[in-house]
Amino acid sequence: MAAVGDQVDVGRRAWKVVAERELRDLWLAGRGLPLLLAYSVLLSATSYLVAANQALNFLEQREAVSLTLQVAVAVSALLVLLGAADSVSGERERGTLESLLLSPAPRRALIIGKGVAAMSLWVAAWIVSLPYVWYLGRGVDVVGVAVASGLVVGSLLALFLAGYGLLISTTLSSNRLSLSVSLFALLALYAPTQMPTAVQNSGIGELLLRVDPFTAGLRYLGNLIISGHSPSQDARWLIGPVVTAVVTVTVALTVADRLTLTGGDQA
Amino acid sequence: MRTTIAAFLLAAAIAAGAVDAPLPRSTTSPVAADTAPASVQLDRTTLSTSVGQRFSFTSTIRNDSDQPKSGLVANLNVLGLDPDIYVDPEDWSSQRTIYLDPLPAYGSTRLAWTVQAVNSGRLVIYVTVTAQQGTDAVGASNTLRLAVARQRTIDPGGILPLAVSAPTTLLLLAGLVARRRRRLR
Repeated sequence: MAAVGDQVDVGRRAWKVVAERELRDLWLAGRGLPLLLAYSVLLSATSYLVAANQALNFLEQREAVSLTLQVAVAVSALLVLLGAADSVSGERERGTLESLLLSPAPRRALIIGKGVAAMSLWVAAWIVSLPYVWYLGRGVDVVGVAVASGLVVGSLLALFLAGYGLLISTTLSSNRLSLSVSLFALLALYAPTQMPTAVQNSGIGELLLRVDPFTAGLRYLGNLIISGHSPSQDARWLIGPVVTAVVTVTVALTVADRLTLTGGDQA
Repeated sequence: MRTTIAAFLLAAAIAAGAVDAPLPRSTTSPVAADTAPASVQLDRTTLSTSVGQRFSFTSTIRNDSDQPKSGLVANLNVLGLDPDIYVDPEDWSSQRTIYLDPLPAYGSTRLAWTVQAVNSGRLVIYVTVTAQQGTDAVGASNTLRLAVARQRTIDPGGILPLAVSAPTTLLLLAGLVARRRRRLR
């Protein structure tokens, strides 16, 4: 009984230890800051174009906030996906996974720790986006709504992509393959936004938009900021992001118990 | 791509029309107004607004004949009166075509249109109506003449310091971290 209690205690402490190490690697020795720098350059360019470019400046101020926020949320989710997709398969390729697997930490704790590090990219990106949203939204009273709704939707999308990236990274042996599959999936998730309006308005089109966490989440943001809807009025648009986030994280944690040195596709 | 194809088809149609069908000498349309499947009237004729603003108007589609009409289709169009204005009506309204329920003899129906002013300048909005079958004629409404003022809601000069300072701060931070890492080695 005491041994089981010890194991649970080790698991509880292990994910924190792994998360701390991963966070240090990401932000002090890794690519966290360069990724965030590229993200801020993109946000700067978007915000400046929205404000200065004549072709984009027709946008009503709420639409400018919505556009910038949607870019911020979508790209920060991409950062999370990059971090998560590299987490295990990257260690495999660098030959450092073996030492991790030999540690007494439960495998699920390893994945949770890596997930926390990947999610930190979203938190940092959200903080970086705050001044842009504040500047564009001041005067039309949408800053609070934009910041809060961006946090909710962005967290759901980040959780979904962190779970998905970890799942792919745990399963595949090659880092290149893991990143390719993850980015391909991300492109597929953006695809419904390119459907013709008539298809989007059809029953099956709307179902697809609601199921796809990206289109549903970004639509929710647009409805809140541009149309001035209340948070509960369009809450059904959040069903897709919530369900996909819960499912992918659960599956990723389940598969984590079967984490191997070579990866599922090599076993 | 679709715009390109549409522009190409439009250009081809104009070119073909220019060759095959010379313009009528009369200023009145060769398609007699009385053959149009229905008449259309807008509830307003002028409007002043600014870029980015949404506005609504209604059109009344009237069946002037003693026979019921079915299969009528109404379409919203926008055009710029100045040659420098590029107008894509799709940008102005996501719903530009409405399929009408059957209209009884001498009956009418009102359609509400909501559009967003996307371009500044002098523009015209009108609604046309035609039938899916039975006639080639198109009935057009009176025009709604728009005066759309430019609007710059965001100060581009104000965002420049932010757009520069945020990446610069992160660049400095990345530099400091890299320097600290080299020292620790």
